[in-house]
Amino acid sequence: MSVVLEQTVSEPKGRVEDRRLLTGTGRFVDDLKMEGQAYMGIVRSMYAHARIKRIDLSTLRSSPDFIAALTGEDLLKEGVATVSQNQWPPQKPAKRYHLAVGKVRFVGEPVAAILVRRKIALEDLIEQVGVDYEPLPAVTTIEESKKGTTLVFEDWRDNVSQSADQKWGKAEDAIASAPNVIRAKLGIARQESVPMEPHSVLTRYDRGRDLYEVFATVQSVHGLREQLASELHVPEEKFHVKVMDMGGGFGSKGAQSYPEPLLACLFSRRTGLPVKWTATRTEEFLEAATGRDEYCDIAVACDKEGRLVALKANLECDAGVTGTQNHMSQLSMWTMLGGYRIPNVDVQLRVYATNKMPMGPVRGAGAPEGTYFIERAMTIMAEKIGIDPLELRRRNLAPRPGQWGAGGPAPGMELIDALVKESRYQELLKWKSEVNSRFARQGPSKSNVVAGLGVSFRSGGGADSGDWSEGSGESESGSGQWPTSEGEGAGDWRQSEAEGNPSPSWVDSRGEEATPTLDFTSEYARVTLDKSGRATVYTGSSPHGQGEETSFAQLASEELGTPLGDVSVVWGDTALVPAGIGTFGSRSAATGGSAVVDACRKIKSQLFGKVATVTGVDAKFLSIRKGRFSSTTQTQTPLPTLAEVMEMMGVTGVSAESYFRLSSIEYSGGAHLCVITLDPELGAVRVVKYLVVEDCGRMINKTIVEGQLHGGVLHAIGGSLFEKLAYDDQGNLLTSTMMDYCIPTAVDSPEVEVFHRGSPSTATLDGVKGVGESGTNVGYAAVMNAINDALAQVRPGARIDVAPATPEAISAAIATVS
Amino acid sequence: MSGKNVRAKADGLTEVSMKINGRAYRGEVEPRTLLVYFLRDELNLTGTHVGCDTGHCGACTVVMDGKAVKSCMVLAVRAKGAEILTVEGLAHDDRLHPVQVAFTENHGLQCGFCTPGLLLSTLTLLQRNPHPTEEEIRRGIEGNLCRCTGYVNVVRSIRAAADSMAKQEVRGRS
Repeated sequence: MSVVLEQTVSEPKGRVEDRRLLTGTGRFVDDLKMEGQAYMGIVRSMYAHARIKRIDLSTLRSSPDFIAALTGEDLLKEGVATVSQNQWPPQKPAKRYHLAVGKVRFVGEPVAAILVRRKIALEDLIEQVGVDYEPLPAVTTIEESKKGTTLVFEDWRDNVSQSADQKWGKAEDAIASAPNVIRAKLGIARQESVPMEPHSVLTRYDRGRDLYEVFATVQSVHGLREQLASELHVPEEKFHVKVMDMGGGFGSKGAQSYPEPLLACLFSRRTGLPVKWTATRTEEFLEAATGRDEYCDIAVACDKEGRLVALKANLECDAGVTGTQNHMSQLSMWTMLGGYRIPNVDVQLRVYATNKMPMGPVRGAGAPEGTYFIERAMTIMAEKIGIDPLELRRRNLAPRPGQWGAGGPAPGMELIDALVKESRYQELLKWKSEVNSRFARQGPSKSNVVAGLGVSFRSGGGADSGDWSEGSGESESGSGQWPTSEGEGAGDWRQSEAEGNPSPSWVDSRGEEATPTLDFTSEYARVTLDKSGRATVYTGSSPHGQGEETSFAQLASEELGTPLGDVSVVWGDTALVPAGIGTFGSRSAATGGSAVVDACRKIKSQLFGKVATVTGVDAKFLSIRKGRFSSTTQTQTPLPTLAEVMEMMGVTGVSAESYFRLSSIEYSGGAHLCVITLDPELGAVRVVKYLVVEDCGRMINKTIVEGQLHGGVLHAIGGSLFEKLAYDDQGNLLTSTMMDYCIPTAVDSPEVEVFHRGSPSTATLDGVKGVGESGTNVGYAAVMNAINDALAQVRPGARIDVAPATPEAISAAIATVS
Repeated sequence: MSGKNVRAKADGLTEVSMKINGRAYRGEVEPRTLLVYFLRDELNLTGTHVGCDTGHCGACTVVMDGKAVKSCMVLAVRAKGAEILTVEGLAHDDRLHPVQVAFTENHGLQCGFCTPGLLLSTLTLLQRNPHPTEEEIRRGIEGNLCRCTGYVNVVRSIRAAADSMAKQEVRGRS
């Protein structure tokens, strides 16, 4: 039942956005300058937990460079709200301000903001601010947080920030009577997104018009506008938020509420000056949202035939002082239960507050963790039973993600079969055993390595989108039902073609309808087509590497028959694009792309309607290409051109809007295979082969899709081999530069081979399934399973279940097994 | 510091001059000003980026007297009289350099932030070694971090650039 996934849209050689990025004419926020701009700096806490006794600004004030300063007390006087916190899933409100009030709760927390005249003076003057602290005991681990001897937030009665459960059947009983049970303590350390461009903001307050102009490094301009409006108690329309080029995000520039845009707005309002701030890399490590830091105590049971009978797990997350976004561990829980039939399940989730920087999404946002937990457990189980790890997965695939019971072919089977074929699995196993028998004969020496092979799988589909954009967050205890996001009448309001009131020069299909709301499963687009045949796409998505300037132009080009070069894509500007959600969560090509297609189809419907009226040809037989209409049936009269039709309509262009809503986001599924060699003396791992079989539906642009997978996979490789935010027992961050927090270089990276299988999504208008995070989601388990496979060759029983498997961890794992 | 390209002034500023992308530039800076900030803030050559300010990421790579340097590790006064090439100087009369062409044709960039540094490291790599092996390519750009591409298409781009520059060389000779 394999569907050949051909590109149906012509893919250009090179992206539309490339030229400016290759010639140094892109515009990143820090590249922008405004006349008379002043520079903002942040004074950050040196303690993980302390009372602020006094902030001394007197030396700073005597500097000729000094313009203004803000402290937490000033924010209270200005009536600024506490840091925004999402309430899905419900989390205990953490009362925290963008500048610490009374107490600091993590190293790097902003204590004061200063505004100075010259950029070069900034760092010196930050040092001139004297802060007296009274250190308090800091909660730096989940264990300490559980004890609750010290509370991170004094108005809480313990340090638990959120909890959830997922239960069906009788997991405990099933485990007790099962012939095969494995247990493991799995985890992924605290890690960071590390986009190459640090956060930056430039604001200008226009007193005459009472308007804030804000350029910021954000994955959603509309999200930042909403946050600024609610935290500053200023109406949304007073903010004009913009982003042009952005140097990556990976979650860290998503919907977290960071202090700097708000502080820059306050400074600009107070002084009338444009205000610029750009993070140093150290500030980036101290403040940008961190992720993972999840640990899973898991027990999995199988029957004699290797069929899963139960899963029981305690899932814990260290969320630091808890952030704006907190859906990650919930997503881990769902992802963990996503791909296989498991009749008895009992998962408990607890999220703990500690004195560390707040948690936020990092590429995959919980899905890499959840996939890692189940996929590492499956491989441990396969070893225990003594069957091939892919075979164990085959026996347990759910017919559809999150569903079990009734049979039917599992779509995942196709991916696993393709992985075996494309990787020449049997040959690889043979090669591996040759390498390992050589090692066994010769014994360890510096030139000698062992080999390991790891696989990992994740079913695609919409299951683990769950209902997390607006869901209840309640578990369905005992039902075995997956939470779905089939909202009541989802998408209904847009099903019928809206009859708009023609405006003098543009026909607009918005008409008199109320503005619909947008959320995770929906996106905004507006498309205009002028009489010369040029099209402009306005999208609420916000590309920063994903290439939507190209792929959305391809979609409009395909729908409207307009040459690619005649389509412009506009985004990242709240004045030009009235609504939007942004780019994160592997959702843009699915939601944003569908909205573009929807808007284009509405335009065609208007135009074809007119042509039909004039010529008598049924609209369903019409198509448009390069400004000319054609019909699949015989026509007696020649069809008019686009320009002629618009003339008849009395307009110079036609536009249509879409707030397209999917019933659920459909995600790409994948099967990964990783082959490594390991030098036991050095603890050094080398990834020698990496292979991905992916089902991401139809590809608008295959090159872009594969680029997303390459980068996503390397994110997982880095996260499995060496990425770790390390703290000392006082809560000091020990990894605050790129020397201490290592991201992979070209030398650490393998060639990644990508193969495509599966079928176009039926949930999206453009046939795509979200792929941006897929490589990361599936990658961790493949790498960690490969490392553990190799470790077992060195010493049976040696195991690393918490990523990253650093050389230090590998040496320790080998040494601790006697 | 002395010499005709560096002159200390009474207000603590120092005059520096250098040739960038074939044009002579002169400016006044505090002696501690880094070359990257001289380029970005004084001369508005913002194609050179700052990704880490500790010399690890390579986004600020420029070519100084024929060698790739991280311009956040070089004082502006140290570049006295130097010939500098930044990303803005790669294309000629709107015609992209073969390295730039190779990067766009092989999707060797996504967000584009690390790209200027990678282009200049590639250029000096291929000048040193016109026919690098994959291993040599990877070693050659080890000092340039990229978080988007997994380096897969960066390596392909560099291989393609090497091929097209070698062909140009042959054409140039015949």
